[in-house]
Formats: sequence, structure tokens, C-alpha cells
Amino acid sequence: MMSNDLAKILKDSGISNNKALEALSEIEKSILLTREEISTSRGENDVSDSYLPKAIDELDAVLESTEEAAHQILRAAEKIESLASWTDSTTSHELSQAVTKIYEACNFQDLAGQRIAKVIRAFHDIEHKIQDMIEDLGGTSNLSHENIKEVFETVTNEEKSLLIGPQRKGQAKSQNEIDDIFKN
Amino acid sequence: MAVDKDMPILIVDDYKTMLRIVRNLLKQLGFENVDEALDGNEALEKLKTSTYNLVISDWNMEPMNGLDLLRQIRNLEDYKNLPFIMVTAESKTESVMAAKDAGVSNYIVKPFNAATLKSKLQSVLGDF
Repeated sequence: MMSNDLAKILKDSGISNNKALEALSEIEKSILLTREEISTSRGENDVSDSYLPKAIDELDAVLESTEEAAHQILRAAEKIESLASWTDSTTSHELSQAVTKIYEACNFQDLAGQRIAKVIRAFHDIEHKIQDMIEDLGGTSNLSHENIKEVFETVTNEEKSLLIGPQRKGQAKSQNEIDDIFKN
Repeated sequence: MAVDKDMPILIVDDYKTMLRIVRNLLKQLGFENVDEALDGNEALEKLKTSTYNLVISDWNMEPMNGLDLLRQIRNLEDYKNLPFIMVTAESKTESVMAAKDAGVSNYIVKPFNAATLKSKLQSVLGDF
């Protein structure tokens, strides 16, 4: 039944009740169709079932391969360092300095790893929000509530905590600024 | 007093790459008596069974992070004054202040270089 307020608005706008009911009926059909599509789209192309897990797998693979690459670089640098002692002192010193630069540069793996881990957590967050939306619209989720709860608690706690991981230049405090905090 | 370069040092990080980098940089500075732990719990166990003169720890680790490790260490009678250097990507003022309040000896922000590590070691241990 149409409310008095709505009937008054329609009357004032010159829209007939039948016309309004037709429009509302179209909207209802559209909502039902969307619900149907969401609740049945559980196949290969589904975002939460396929795209996001695949993206997470790819990022995991990047993590693994960069870690292995960093270890290979470090092994090679360690070998160079051990052989440096067999050369004359000038060459040995120069090799040692070059090896130090390699060690310093390998910091990248740790920072890249932390950044990728942040992206993976964000993907998990999105994935579970999509699952919640599907459930709200009448579909069924293939994830357990335990799992969803666990991920949300982790994300929420991290947002609240002091741990936010590497920040971009300009947002992060520099070593000099941190040193100043320790001087005070 | 001269710094004893034979002192036992415990480095703590969940990234094996970082453990390897810190160990190698310490070796270049003459510190070779280095032990490793992959998180705060493992570090705490090692501290209870062995003696260390310095801890160099990451912050962001699971299950026990570096800040909790520091707090636990400061509660141990034998390690109340143990030099503890935090090496971390966490650079928010609040994070640095939390570590300072918990009794951290010095703080290195990642990515760091060998010169920074050396200067922080010197500020904690004395010149070498």
C-alpha cells in the first residue's frame, strides 16, 4: 500500500499512481535480478572465488622469488668477500666496500616483503567484504564465519596498532628525525 | 674501555634475508659471535638459556613482536640494562616514542646502511 506522504508527492508532481507503481515494479525487478546474479555467480569468473585468490597467489610467488633472489645475491657477495682476503690490501678493501653496498641494497627484500604483505592483507579484507555483501544479498558464502572473523580481527588490530610497516618517502620519519627524538 | 668484539650478540628478525644482512655487516665490523632468533618468543628462550651482551631486533614479527620482546627483557632481572637496538621499518613518531618509553637503547629505521649500524653500535657500546 502506498503511504499518504508518497501519494501526496506523486499527486503534487502530477505522476499517476499507476505510473509510480510501474516504476517501483521495475526497480524491484532490477534488485531481484541483481540478487539472483550475485547469488548464482559462483563460477570461475567470480571475483572473490577466483581473481582475488589468484592475485594473492601471484603476490606470494613474488615474495618467494625475491627472497630466493636476495639469498642468491647474498651468497655470491659472501663468496666475493671470502675471496677478497686473497687479494692485495687495496683490492681487498675495494671489494669489501662493494660487498657492503650489496648487503645494504638487499634491504629491499625485507621492505618489499612487508609492502606486499600489506597488499595481501588489503586483498583479504576486500575479499571478505565481498563475501559479506553476497551473504547480505541472499547468496551463500563459501568461507566460514570463523575465518572471516579472524581476518577482520587481524586487520582491525593492525590498523589500531603502532605497526603500519614501511611508509612512503615524505610520510616516513628519517633516521635523523628519529635520532632527534632520542636526543630529547 | 675497549669494546669486546667477542661479545655474544643476538639478532632477531623473521626475515632470514635480514638476519643474513645484519650478521654480515656485524662481521665486517669485527663482531662474529652472533646468534639468531626468528621472533620474540625464540629470542626470549635463548636469553633465558644463554648470555648475550646486545640484542638487535626487528619490530614487526609474529607471534611475539620486537616491542613486546623489549618489554619482557626489561622485566628480567639479569637483562634490565641489556643494550637493545630496534631495527625496523616503523618510523611513526608514536612508534619511536613507544619503543623509547619501553627502554630501547637506540633505533634504526630500515632501509639502513652500514655506517648507520656502526654509529648506533658505537652509541650503545662505546667507540671501536
